[in-house]
Parts: sequence; structure tokens; C-alpha cells
Amino acid sequence: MSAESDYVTLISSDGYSFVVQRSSACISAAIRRMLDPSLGFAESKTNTCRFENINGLVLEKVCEYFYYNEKHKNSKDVPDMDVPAELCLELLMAADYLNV
Amino acid sequence: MALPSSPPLPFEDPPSSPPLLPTLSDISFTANAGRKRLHSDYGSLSSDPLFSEDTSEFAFHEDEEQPKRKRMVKGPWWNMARRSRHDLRRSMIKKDGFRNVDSGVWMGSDDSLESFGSERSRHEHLAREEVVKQRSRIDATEDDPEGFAARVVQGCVDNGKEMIDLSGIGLTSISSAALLPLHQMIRHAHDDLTQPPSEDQYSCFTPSIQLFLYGNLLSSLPAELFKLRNITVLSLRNNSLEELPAAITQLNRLTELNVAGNRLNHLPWSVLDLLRSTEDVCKVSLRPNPFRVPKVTIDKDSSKLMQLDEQLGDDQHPAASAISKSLEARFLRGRQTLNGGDEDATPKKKRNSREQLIFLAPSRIRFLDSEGSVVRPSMTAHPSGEIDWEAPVLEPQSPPVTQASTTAPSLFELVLRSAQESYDLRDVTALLPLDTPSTVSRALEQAARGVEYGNDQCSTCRKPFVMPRAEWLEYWFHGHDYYNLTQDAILPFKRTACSWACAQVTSVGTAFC
Repeated sequence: MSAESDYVTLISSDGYSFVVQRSSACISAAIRRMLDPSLGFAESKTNTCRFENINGLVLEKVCEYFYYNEKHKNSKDVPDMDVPAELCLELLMAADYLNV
Repeated sequence: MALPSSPPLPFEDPPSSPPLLPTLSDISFTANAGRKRLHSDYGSLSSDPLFSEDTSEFAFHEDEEQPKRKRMVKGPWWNMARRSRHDLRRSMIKKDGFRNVDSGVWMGSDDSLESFGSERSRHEHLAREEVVKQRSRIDATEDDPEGFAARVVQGCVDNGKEMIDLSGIGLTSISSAALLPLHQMIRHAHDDLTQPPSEDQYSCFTPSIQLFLYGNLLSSLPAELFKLRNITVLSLRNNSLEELPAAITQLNRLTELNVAGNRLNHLPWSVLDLLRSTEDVCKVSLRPNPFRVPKVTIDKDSSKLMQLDEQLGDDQHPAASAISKSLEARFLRGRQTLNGGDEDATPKKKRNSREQLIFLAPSRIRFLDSEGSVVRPSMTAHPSGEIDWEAPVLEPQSPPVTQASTTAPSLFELVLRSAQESYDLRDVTALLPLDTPSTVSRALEQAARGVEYGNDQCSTCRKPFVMPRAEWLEYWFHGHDYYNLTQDAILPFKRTACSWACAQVTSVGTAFC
């Protein structure tokens, strides 16, 4: 398995896996550190991050945000991303955990 | 209103005479000239109802042996107040022996203490209230200043008084609920019924509230205050405010704002707009306050700004008390751009008298991450996370991690905004699970505050945000153009930004007047 690939896999607590661009996922400081080869975590070898505290619904939204952020990196008037009210608290915890 | 009210009878009438027939003037409006209404008359009764009033004033002059009569009155009952008072006065002139006898019948209207038709009692009531106010003003400090304030506010609303004086009653806080009645205030149309309304009384009923809160112990202001858009004069002089909410600019009818004598050490960025755009309209009193001032001295070799060491007093550094040359140079440059061109062509006195705002220098920018903890300056160098706000920085400052300097809001921020819209956040922190990280609960508290006061605005892109990503102070000169650059003429404004990309210091040479 290659140490560096363009895509990484994020696996939620209920077993859903999301394959996202590495550069997009790395805006999260936590994921960046997990995947940093120099730090030698298991995730950096397998390019797979497993989140035991984030379920599929929330992780899907997080991945959506990664691409939202990628898209609006340098644009001036950024429209707000739609966040469903019922996921608010869980997403807040996830965002806090992932540092995004 | 030319009402055909029958005048009191001349007293020389024989006491035994039967009640007089209606006079001509009476007849003129009652077509049938009779007291009784005919059935055919009902059709024409669309407007003013007829009713009779027991003229109690006259009824009590038993010694006069007056025949008890009823007066014909036309028009709505509130006109009675005016007329009955005239009659009262007239009869008082005629008779010395006027007795103010209580009829025993009290007709109160549904919420006020005023009984209709008794203008006198209203004045008495007001006078009594004044006494109560004076008396309780003294007691207020001991028992319940806030409850007292609420009563004063309610009283002002009831009487349509636009000047609300809550000064010097020892308020330590004032709740939003106490100010809530002010939303319902309407201007009094005719505060005195003795004169016909003058022309200026025909203006609109929107009040111009003057709220005087000076001389209290307020350390914070209720959110409701900033929703009272009709406040024109707001005096917060001599309180204990440590921060002026940026929401102050929501009061767009302000003509006078006084925050002197508080504990403010900086001003919100929005006050700069207030000073700048409405300078002629709005009178703002800011000093004295313990504002931060740039603490600078000149390094003789490089003539670069250096931070003054705490230990070094003014004696060792004679230049320390003077404002640095660099700031002076920027100041002069700003003044030149303001006066430039104008000076040679038409040196107007009027223009010269205007106050100027000239940007001098920013402090170090404090960069925060999405959850609101300080990223730079690093916590190891400044364990408290506080930075030296008083050291101006002249070189450009860039965000710590370029990767994160996007204009897109963080996910954390987006979720907080969504939560503000969907939930009542006021006591949500009590409902959070126990293992909630403190950053999350703190952010939710901040979001709840944002709902109450209105979210802060990014000082660069003016978009509202919940969690600031960067904050810094900017020092501006503020004063007339004959002022020199002294410590007293420098105002610190706090800027906040919604993203690291927005953390851009005002460019050197920016000046307004």
C-alpha cells in the first residue's frame, strides 16, 4: 500500500466509508496529523481513518463540508452551507474533534 | 369646537322658577327642540351621541337654591374634561364658597388612576407621583433599584414622557424586561389641554426617547436597549461599563451618546462608523475613559518603534512620554491627505472645524482557531492568551498557517449559525451531555449571546459571524485639525474578523473627516 495517495478513506462508527480527496480532508488538523507519514500513525500507512465517535450521517456532512471549503477557498461571497438542525449538536462535536 | 353648551344660568333668576326651556342655541342642534328623542330622530344619530351630565359642581351650591338642571352635552366624553374644567373655573371665580365635595362615585378608566373629567385629579396624581419618585429615589438604593427603574419606565410610557430619567439610583444591572414597555411608547398628542394644538403637535407620534442612565453602577447593558430604535439621547456617563457592545450602532436615530467616565479600554469598531458618518448628526462623548494608548518609544539607531519595557520609567527614556516619530509621520501624512488640495483653493473655516480620524497603527493581531482558542501568538509565549495590546506593530502581519486562511467559514461556525436559527440557545448549555467539550459549550453560549445582541460583524467584509477568528486593536487619531498628536487624542478601536483572510489591517494613510 502506497504511503501517499490522492484519496483517503474515512470510515464512520456504523461502518460507512467515504473516499475523499486527501487535500480536501487535510483542512482538518486532526486528519492531517493522522495522515502525516512523519508521525507514523497507522492511518498514514493504510490511508484510512476510522472514527468511532462519528456516525455515517454526520461524517457525510463533514465530507460535504470538505468539498464546500475546497470550492469556496478564495471566493468572495461565500454562501452558507446547509446544516440540518437535527444534526447540529453531533456536528458541533465532530467539528470540534476534527478541528474544522 | 363651537359646542352649544348651555351657559350656567344667571343667578338672578327666581329660585322657584321652573327649568328654563332650551335656548335657541340648543335648538339649533337638536332639530326637534325636545329632550326626548323621537323615533324618527334615530336615523340622524350616526355621529355624535347625546348624553347628559350631572353638573355636580352646581348641585353642591345648596345655599344658592339653584334649580338642579342637567346640561346638554354633545360630542365624545373626553371633551368633557376641558369644558368641565372651564366651568369649574368660572364658577370658582364667581363663588368663593366653592366646595370640593367628593361625589362618592368614582369612575376609573380601565388601567389608569384617572377618572375621566377630572383634570384636577390627574394633576394631583402627577404631583403625588413626583413626590413618590423623589422619596423613593432616596430609598431606591436600599431596596430594589431595578424594580424602581421598571416603575419609572412604566410611568413614563403611561404618561407619554419621552425623557426617562434613571440616573443616580444605584442600578447595578437593568433587565431587558424593564425596558420592554418602551417599545409601546407613543408621543403625547396634547400634553396640555388648555391651548389649541399648535402646528408642531401635528407631527408623527413616534417618540424620541431620551434615556438617562448616568451615575449608576451598570457593568453591562441589556440586549433590549439596542432594539429600542427610537432612542435619540442615551447617557451612560459614570457607570462601570467595561465594554460597549458593537450593537450600539443599531440605534440609528441617536443624536447624542455619552459613555464618558466608564471603564472602557477600547471601543467597538462600529463606533468609528458612528464618528465618521454621522459626525454632524450625532454627538458622541467618549472621554474620560481608561483607553489603551500605544506604548512606544523611539530606538535612536534605527528609529524603529520599540516596545517600552515595563520596568523602564519615563525618566530613563525621555522619549518615552513623547509619541513616536513614526506615528507622528503617519499622522501628518493622514492630515495632509485630508487637507490636501483643499487648503490652497478654499480654506473654509467650516471644514477646518470638523473632527478628523486618522489611522495610526494596529496592535498585534490575535489569531484564533475555529473554536476560539488562541493560535498566535502561541500560548507558550503568552500563557494567558492575552497579548500586549498597547504595542503598535508597523510591519505587516500574516496568518500563522496559510492553509487555513480561506474566506469560507469553518464547519464549526456554520453549525453554530444553523443552531442559532433552529434552536433556542438560551439555556441549552444546561441540557448538554456531561462529556461535552468545554469549547463546544462556550461556543454555544457565545451563539446564544449573538442571538440576543445580534451577531458581531466582520470589520473587513461586514458579514455577521459567531466566533471571531482574529482580533486586534487599531489606534486612530480623533480630534479637530488644530489638535496635535497626543496620547489623549488617540482612540483604540477593536476589530474582529470572520476569517484569517479577513484579518487585514487598515492601510496606512487612511483618514476621514
